[in-house]
Amino acid sequence: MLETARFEARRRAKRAVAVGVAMSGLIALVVVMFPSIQETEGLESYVENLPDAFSAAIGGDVAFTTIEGFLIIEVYRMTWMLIVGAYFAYVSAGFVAGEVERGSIELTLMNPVRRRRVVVEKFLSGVPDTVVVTLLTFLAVIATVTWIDESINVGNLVLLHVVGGIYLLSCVAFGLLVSTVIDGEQRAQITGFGGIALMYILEAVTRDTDYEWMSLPMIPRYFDPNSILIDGEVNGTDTLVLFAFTVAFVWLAAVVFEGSDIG
Amino acid sequence: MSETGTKGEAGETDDIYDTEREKDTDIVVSDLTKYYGDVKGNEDVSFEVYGGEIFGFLGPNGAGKSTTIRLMLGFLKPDSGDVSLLGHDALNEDELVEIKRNVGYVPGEFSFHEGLTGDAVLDYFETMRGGERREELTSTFSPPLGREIGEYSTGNKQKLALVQAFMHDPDLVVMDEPTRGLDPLMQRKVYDFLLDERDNGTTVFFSSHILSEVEKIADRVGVIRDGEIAGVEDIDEVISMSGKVLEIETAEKVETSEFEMEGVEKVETVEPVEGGAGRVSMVATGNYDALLKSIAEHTVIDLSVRETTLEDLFMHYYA
Repeated sequence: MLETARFEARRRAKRAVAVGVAMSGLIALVVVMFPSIQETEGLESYVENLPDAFSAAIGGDVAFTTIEGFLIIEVYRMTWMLIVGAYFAYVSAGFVAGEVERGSIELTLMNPVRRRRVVVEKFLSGVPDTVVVTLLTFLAVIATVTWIDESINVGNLVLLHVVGGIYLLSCVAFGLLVSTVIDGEQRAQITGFGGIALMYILEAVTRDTDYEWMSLPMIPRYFDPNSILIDGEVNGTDTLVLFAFTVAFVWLAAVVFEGSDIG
Repeated sequence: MSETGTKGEAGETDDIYDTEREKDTDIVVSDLTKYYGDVKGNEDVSFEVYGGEIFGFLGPNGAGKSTTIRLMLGFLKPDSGDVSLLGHDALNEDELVEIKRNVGYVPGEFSFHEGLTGDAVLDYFETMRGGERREELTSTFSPPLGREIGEYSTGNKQKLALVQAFMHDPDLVVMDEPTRGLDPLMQRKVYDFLLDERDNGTTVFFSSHILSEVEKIADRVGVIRDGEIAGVEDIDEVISMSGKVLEIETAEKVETSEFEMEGVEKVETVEPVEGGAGRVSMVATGNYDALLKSIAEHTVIDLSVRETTLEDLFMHYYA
């Protein structure tokens, strides 16, 4: 069972850990800067006076000078939702397109498995990557926040990383769908990365405007770090939507791949 | 001719299983058509491959050989037509899964994740399909298993491709130009190996653009050109069509009728190129002594002899 998923995950294991460590390092660097940012005169009023769309993009209505607000803006929105999310879509967009481009898909498909199963296992092979990044960054946040003598609600942080992990999975699923639709590994990966980045920006600029409906099909709309980290409130419906997105993308990817010509 | 006849019987003497398998038709391709937009890949391709035979799929580069193979194995979806492998409908995804348990494949160009060692690749395939013959085959072909396949030469990749294709002991093996990139010694080894496999009851389908290669090992041959089957022949038939292509140029005029004898065909006059008065080309399949004596009646100023190629076959028989 799941030989292909395990094989693929093992093949990328080193890189997954490397990415997790790099993200943790980046987060640690950012968090360590917090005390000096907190002391910077006038920064808060500067942030408050930013144009609405811009402040929405970096996190909305949160206090930059509290550790929670700082983490939401610097770590969970700018880094996690935008960069890590887009990166995961970038990687998974290579799952199928890359194998087709290199020709290795032929030997993969000579295994006695259906094509749709290959797609599902490719997705599953991305799960350990998200778990590694979610766990390592959690530890990094806890460690550095403690180190700078700040405190944070650990329960809320756990919740945030669980829902954040689901968000990353839906990014993986999105990339996988792109991987079956777009030919050529590089094109698919750019589309995967760009797709998530575009969704993030569109969601941010239309939030609380008349055009908010435009973000209905956008993944980032359904993950709100603010309410989870500050209030410990997880919007169940939104989280279900993230799940639904994930399942739908993987299912669609499987359908597309079963019907497509290879080579 | 009688020599090649005994090739097909070798398996029958082994055991009942082989005899029964030889009655099967392991590949049935009927009216397979595939267009890429307006570009023809295959059109109405039909042929059958019997259990326990080596079937050569012969055609020049770009004739549609790989397309047929990809259609057979389900990588491409045909516009119309049917494929049955080992008695199952290969166009049905669920049946194709069952088929693959018992089919090996050597792709036209071996490609797998470059950062993995040969051993890691075989480990993966073994978990998916089994590998009861892995050790035996790795010692036969000895690819450098400890090295990453990104560093492999074409020949080493081909060796690894052969190991993975046969290691689960399949009943049918499909190969897209299996000797490409191999040195002559290794090619010989592959031919012998395939003949042994055939004698042990395995059905082998391989594509090639080299006539002499097909003649060496195939029992029957399907000839494909421009995406269409030009003919399906017993190997004896192909051998009788091929032979030596001779061209002579003489100082005096020469008539084609002088060389009309048994074993000599397709006698044609061509433009002299060495300043002689006549030049003749012909295909000789035997009766060499008589032919040489007729030639010797002239003053020969140029002579060339070569094996027939696929192009000659097309020019003379499938034109």
